[in-house]
Amino acid sequence: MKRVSIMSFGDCISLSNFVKIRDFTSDKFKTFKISFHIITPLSLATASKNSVCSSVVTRATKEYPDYIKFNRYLSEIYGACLSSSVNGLGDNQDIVVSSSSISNKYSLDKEDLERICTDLIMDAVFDPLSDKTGNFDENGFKQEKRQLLENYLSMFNDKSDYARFKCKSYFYESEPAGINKYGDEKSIRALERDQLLDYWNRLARSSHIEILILGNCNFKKIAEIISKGIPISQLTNNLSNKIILKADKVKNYSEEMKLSQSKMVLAYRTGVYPADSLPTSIAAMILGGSPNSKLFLNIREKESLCYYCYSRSYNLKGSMFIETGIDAVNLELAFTLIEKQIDEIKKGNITDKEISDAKLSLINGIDSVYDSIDETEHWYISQIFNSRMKSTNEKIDQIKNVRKDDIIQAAGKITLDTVYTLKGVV
Amino acid sequence: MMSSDITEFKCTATDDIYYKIKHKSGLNIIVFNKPGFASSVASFSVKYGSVDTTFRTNHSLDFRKYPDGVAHFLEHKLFESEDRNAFNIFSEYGASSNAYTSFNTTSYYFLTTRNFYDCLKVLLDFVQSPYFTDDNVKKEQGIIDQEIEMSYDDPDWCVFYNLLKSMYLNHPIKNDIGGTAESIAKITPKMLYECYNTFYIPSNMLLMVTGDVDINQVLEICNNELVEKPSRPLPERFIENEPDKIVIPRIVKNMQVSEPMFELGFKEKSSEYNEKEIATKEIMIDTLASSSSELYENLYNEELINEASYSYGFFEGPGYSSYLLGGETKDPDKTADYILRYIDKIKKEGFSKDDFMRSKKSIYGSNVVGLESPFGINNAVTTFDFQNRNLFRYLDVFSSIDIDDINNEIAKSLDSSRLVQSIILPE
Repeated sequence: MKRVSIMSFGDCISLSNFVKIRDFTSDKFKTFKISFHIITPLSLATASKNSVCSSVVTRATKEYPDYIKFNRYLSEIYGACLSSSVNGLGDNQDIVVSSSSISNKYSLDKEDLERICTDLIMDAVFDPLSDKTGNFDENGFKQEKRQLLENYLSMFNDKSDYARFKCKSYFYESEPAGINKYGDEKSIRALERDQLLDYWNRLARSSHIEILILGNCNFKKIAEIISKGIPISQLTNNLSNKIILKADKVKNYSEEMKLSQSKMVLAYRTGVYPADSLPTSIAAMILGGSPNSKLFLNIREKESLCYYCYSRSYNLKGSMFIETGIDAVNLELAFTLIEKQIDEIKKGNITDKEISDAKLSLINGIDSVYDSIDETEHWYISQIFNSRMKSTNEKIDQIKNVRKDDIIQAAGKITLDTVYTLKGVV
Repeated sequence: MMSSDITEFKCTATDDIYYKIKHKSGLNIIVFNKPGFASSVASFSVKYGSVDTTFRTNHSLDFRKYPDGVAHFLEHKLFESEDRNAFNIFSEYGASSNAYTSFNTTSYYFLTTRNFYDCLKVLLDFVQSPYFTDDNVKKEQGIIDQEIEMSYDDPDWCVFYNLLKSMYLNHPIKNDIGGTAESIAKITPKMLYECYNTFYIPSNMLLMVTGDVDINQVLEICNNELVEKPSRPLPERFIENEPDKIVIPRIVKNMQVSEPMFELGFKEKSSEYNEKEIATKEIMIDTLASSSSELYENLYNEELINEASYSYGFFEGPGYSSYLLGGETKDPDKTADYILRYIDKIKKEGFSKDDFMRSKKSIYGSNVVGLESPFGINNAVTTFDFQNRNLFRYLDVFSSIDIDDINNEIAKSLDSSRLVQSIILPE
C-alpha cells in the first residue's frame, strides 16, 4: 500500500493508479459518510445502465435481500443511509454510491456504525445481491427501472430544470456532456436485466474510483477494511474531457408551452481550460453571481423584468450559463440587456469594488467548504481532472492575485453558443 | 451584562449548548456555540408572516385588514435604505445574505467566514431602517409579479396550495405567501410602514447566531446597534373562526407534468402544542408512513409511489394543523384508497411495538444530523422559539414517548371526513 500526500487537506492512500482513498475526516461533525465515486465516460449506451445498476445495488443486500426489511434495518441504526446517484462530470458520468450515519459516539446501543456502514457499501459495490441465475433480483430491477424512468420524465415538472436540460442537450450536442445523466427515455425503456450484474461487476472493478471518507469517523479503520476487501483488476476505460473554446455561430432553439412564465437559458463557451478558469469565474460572479451583480442590478432591480437572472460558470467544460424566468413579451428585451452587461465587462467597465466583492464572495464560499461534508465532497470531485489538486488556501491565494486585466481578458474570450427559450403561451 | 441575564440550554443527547438572553430592549437573543466551524450564521427574525393580515395595535381600534403579501413585500424592500443597499455592504465583507418569508415568520440572515461582527452590525442596522417610497414600491411590484408567476407553473406549489384552499375556509394560511398580482398592486409605502411599525418591535423579534463566536461581543454590538424605541404592545391578530370541517374533499388541476401528483391532507384541530405533543405527532406519522412502514411497502410494491417524490409529515402553526402525505402516482384514487384503508386498520389494531421503536431510533438519528449545519440549526432554533418551544427539550422528550401515546394520537386524528385530496393531472 503506497501512501502519498497529494493535498495538504486530505491524506491519500493509492490502492492502484486508478483507485484512491481520501481522508476528509473531522471530529467537528456529528455524522460521517463513505462515498465511492465510480467515474466512467458518459455515453448513451451506458448512462441508463449505470444509473439503474447503482440503484439496484443499494436498495437491498445479500444480508437484507428484501427492500423494505433493509429499510427497516437502516431505520433501526438511527436512519443510516445506503444510497446512490449519478451526476454528469464534464464528458463523464460520476456514479456515486454512499453510506452515511450518525457517528459512533451518538449511537445509543453502542453499535459500531463505522464498521456497519463500511460493510454495507463494500457489499453494495463489490458483492451485490443476486438471484439464483446470477442476475440482479427481478423485482428489484423492475422497481428501479420504473423509478428511473419516472425520475427522468419528472424533470419536465420543474420548468427551470427542463429548460436547462434542453439548452444543455443542444449546446453540447456533439459532446458526451450533452447526454443526460440518466440517459434518455428510449435507453431507459430498453434496459434488460440479463447480464446487467456482470456488467456492473466489471464496471466496479475496472473504473476510476475515488473513495472519500468524510466527517466524524476513524479514517484508518475504515480505510483498512476497504483496502483489504477491494477487488481491482485492470483499468479498461480512459477518461477524457473535451473543451470547445469558441462558438462558431449562435444556435437558437425555442419551444412553446402553456405556462405563466417563460424561461430563457443562454450557453456560452468561455474560451479557457479548467486550469486557467479563475478570471472567468470572477467575471461570471461580477456578471450574475450575487444580488450585487450586473444582471441582478440591471435586469431585476433597475428594469423589474424578472425575479431571477443569474450566471454561473461550469469550468470543467469551459462553459457559462445564464438563466432567467420572464414574461414572454420581455424575452427579447432581456436578451439584449444580458448581452449588454457582458459587453460592459468586455469593455472593462467594472469597478474595483465589483472585483473585490466578487473575489471575496468566491473566497467566502471556499472558506466554508470544510463546514459541510457534502460541500467538501463536491469541492474535491469537481477538481479531479486537474493535473494537480489545489488546497483551499492555495486557491484563495490565486483568487487574490487575479488582476482587473485578467478578468477583462477572460470576458473577451466568452462567446455565445446557444439560446434556448421556453415560451409561455396561454 | 450580568451573567444572570443569560440562560444556558444543553442538549443531553449531543452536549450542544446555546445561550438565550433577554436584552433590555425586549429582544430575545440566542447564541449557539459551534466550535471548529469556519462559517457563522446570524438571522434577525420577526414573528410576522403571510397569515398576519388582520390586526390592531390598540384594543379601542377596529381590526384592519391589509392586502395579502405585505410581509413578503416588506422582506423584499428592507434590504434597501435611503442611501445604501444592505446586499452591497454584505458583499464588501464577503458575506452572503438573503431573507425569506413563511406563513408565520420573516427572517433576514447572512453567512460568513470573516468579518462576522461587522456583518452583525449591518444586519441589525438594515432591518431597523425601513425606507419605502412610491418609486421603490412600484419597482418591486414587477419583480414580485414574476416571483408569483413562477410559482403558478410549479406543480409542487399548486398541489399544496390547492390542498390548503380546499381545507381552510377562513384561515389566511390558504392564501399564497407572496399574495397575488392584484393584492400586491394595492400595497402602498404607507401600508408598509404601518405593518413594519406594528410587527418589527424588539419583543416580537429574535436575533439568532450560530458559530464559533464570542457571546460578549455579540451582546456588546446589540447594546450599541439596537435602536431604543418606546415600548409598544404586541399587535393583536385577528383570525376568523375556522370550522373543523373542510371546504371541499377533492380538487383537481391540469398542468404540464409527466405523471399525476397527489397530496392528501387531514385537517386536524389546532392547538398550541408543547414539545411532547409535537414529538408524538412526528413519531406517529413516521411510524405510519415512513419508508420502513407497511403502508409504504404496499404502495411501493403496487408501483403507486416512487422513492424520490414520496413525502409525509405534520404541518402546523397558529390556528392550523394537518397531516400530509403526497408524491407522484400513476393512480391518485387508488393511492388514496390504500392509504385510507391502512389508516383504518391501524386505528383498529394499533401500531406494532417494533415499528414504533424503529421510528423513534430513526428520528433520534435525524435529530442528531439536524444539529450539524450552522444554517439548519439557526432555522430550527428560531422556529421552535417563535412557537414557545425549546429545541433541546423537544429532543430530550423523545425517550419519554411510548406506544400508547402514538396509538392515542392516531385514534383521535386522521379522520377521513376531514380529508382533502389535491390532485394534479397531466394536460
